[in-house]
Amino acid sequence: MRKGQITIFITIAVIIILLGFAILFIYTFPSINKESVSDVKSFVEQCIKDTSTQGLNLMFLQGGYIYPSDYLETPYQKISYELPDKSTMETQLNSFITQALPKCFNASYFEQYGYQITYRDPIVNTQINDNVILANVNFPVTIQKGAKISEVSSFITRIDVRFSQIYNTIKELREQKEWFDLKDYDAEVDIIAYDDSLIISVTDTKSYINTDYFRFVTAVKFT
Amino acid sequence: MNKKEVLVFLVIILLSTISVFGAPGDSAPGGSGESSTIDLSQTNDASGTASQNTAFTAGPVTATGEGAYSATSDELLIQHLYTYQDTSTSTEGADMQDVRTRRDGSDTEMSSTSVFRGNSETTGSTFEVNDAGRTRLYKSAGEYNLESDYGAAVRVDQTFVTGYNNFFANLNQRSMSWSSSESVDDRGTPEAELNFQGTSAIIFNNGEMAFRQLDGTTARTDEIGRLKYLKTSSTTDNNIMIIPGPTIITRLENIDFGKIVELEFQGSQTKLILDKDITGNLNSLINFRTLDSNAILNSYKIGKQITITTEKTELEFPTFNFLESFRTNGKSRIVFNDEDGIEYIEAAKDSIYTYHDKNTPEKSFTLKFNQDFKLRVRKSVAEPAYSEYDGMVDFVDKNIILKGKTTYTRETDIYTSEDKDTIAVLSMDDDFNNINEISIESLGPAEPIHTRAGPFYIREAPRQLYIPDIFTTQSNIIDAYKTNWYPIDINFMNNLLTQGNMRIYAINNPRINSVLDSLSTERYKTYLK
Repeated sequence: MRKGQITIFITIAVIIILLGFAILFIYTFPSINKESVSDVKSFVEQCIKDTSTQGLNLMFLQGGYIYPSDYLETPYQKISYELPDKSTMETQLNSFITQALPKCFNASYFEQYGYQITYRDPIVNTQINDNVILANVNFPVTIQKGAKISEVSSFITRIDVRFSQIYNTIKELREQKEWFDLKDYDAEVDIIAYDDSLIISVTDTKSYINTDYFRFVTAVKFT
Repeated sequence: MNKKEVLVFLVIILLSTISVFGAPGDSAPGGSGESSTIDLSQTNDASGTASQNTAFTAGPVTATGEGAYSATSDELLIQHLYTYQDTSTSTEGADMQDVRTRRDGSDTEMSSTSVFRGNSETTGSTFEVNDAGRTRLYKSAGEYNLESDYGAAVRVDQTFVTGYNNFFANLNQRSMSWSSSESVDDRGTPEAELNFQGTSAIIFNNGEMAFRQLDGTTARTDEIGRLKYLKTSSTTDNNIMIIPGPTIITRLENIDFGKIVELEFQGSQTKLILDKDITGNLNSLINFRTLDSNAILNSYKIGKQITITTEKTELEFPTFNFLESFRTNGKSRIVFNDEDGIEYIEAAKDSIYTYHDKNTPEKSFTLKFNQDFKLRVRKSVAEPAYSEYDGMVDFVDKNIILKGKTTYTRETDIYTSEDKDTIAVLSMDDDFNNINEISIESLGPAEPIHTRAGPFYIREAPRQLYIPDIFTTQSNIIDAYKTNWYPIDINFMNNLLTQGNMRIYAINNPRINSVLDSLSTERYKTYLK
């Protein structure tokens, strides 16, 4: 074997090893370019998106509440008996993202690369519209590396879901309760008898929250 | 290759890897769905209870038991015989009127239209009625005796006997009888009308009649001694049974003569007008119970086929494997085959047909007709077509067709139409147990149509689903449901209803946990911990 061949093999081996590290890096941490402040911003945006989608999924699967008080409990979830209005859901979501965002955003991670990160508490304003949910997050983050200082603060996350249609279907099914219209539903409707309650789940296969279908679950006492 | 190129290379490989690891939307939840001889005998022991009673006969008499008579001439004819007892005056007595003797069919030695009368007022504690000593009717030691010097037989055309407690007491444990066949042999025709007071039962067996305790009863025999007509207003509570014989009706016993009862038998036909709550059996095949006064039960038989026209009755048609019954208040007609049961029904509105399977009771069902309805019940290919019908229970081709306003019941009401223009086809399985599919054809129903599948209750006009029993265990016999006017079929399986994108899980559906698991919130609680 010639020396040149050995060099090629070593190079390939190094590439494979680097590739492994790269994959590990990609799936372990948000993708950032350590050389770019914008990557810090992307990281923040990713956190906002993560917290928003988790919050939305949790809220919709729990009947519109992230923190339900009167609910049906199964081994798999708590489902609110009360169906909140949009405003209540927005408030719930604001609260959740506000609390969750700092947990997601791990500033110390960047410090090992020479960044100094400081931030203030986020201010979240979500808007649930007919076909889109917007999370407006004011999260002032100061990024300093050496003498260079940057600040990012405003973030908007947009999630396209057919909220009003699904919400109205849920509302209609809740009101019917002991009888239902047999019709061509433009979403998957599951109604489940559980204990003394009905669990009503409407799944919109035409819109997603992150990787999951948009699903809204609610519970009504049958008797 | 410099550092930058290596990095670009790595990024390309990384992107490829990401695409291999998966894209959004792969974990979509929800899933798809799951998818006349007549024998009238007594059963009621009326000993000492009747206040008015006795009996009598037409035709030459062969009396049995106490009260027997003897006669030496060819025939003694008493056209009218009256006996009576008046408890208020402690008076009893008897009249004989139009008494004559006959030899060779002609009046001979005696003929009198005068009334022979005797009673306890004129004769003391016992009385005797006689026609110059030749014919004597008297009571002695509580026994009634009729003696005559004339005739080997005595004929009494009309007998009216009232008020004889003692007389009845002596007779009420047995019966008097006479044989009209003897009269046919001896004298041709004993057509007669009999009037009874206080006899509890009648036995009429090919011309032989016996009776006890029948109040207000009139019977007529035909020219050969068969009971042709019977009417009673007795207050005795008994039942009635009619069994076929040489003259179609051979036995009539346990009669509930407590009500107005009219029986008329002509040739191969039976015509009955009965009061309510009378139960009985017709032709050893058909049990009946009357539902109201003036109930009608007419029948005629040709070969093995019996056609019944009836009103206000409940009929049972038992066969070896199943029992069919039919209940009607209006005028209905049933064609019955003694091998295969009911073939055809013309049912009045609100009539009910029931098929009870003796081997598999859960297969039993009931049809209620909410309008006048012609039903064919097809049990063999060879049965007549009955081309005009509104519905058919077809045990051959395994389906049930119901047009218009009907109800099909299996433990609970399974299908009810209040719409006259609806046709439902229930496609049955081979055992005629489960309904593979119920298919409803309508113009777009103007009136409600109800179908029950286990805990689910479907209603058309408007099209809705009710779930009153979704929390209870309900057996279901329907697999599928569809209508011609709405494109989405409904399926039922394991307490799950599926209609297009809609699935409803009743309490016992085994998939409930997996569905709830798919809706689990656990993975969205990262930031709550």
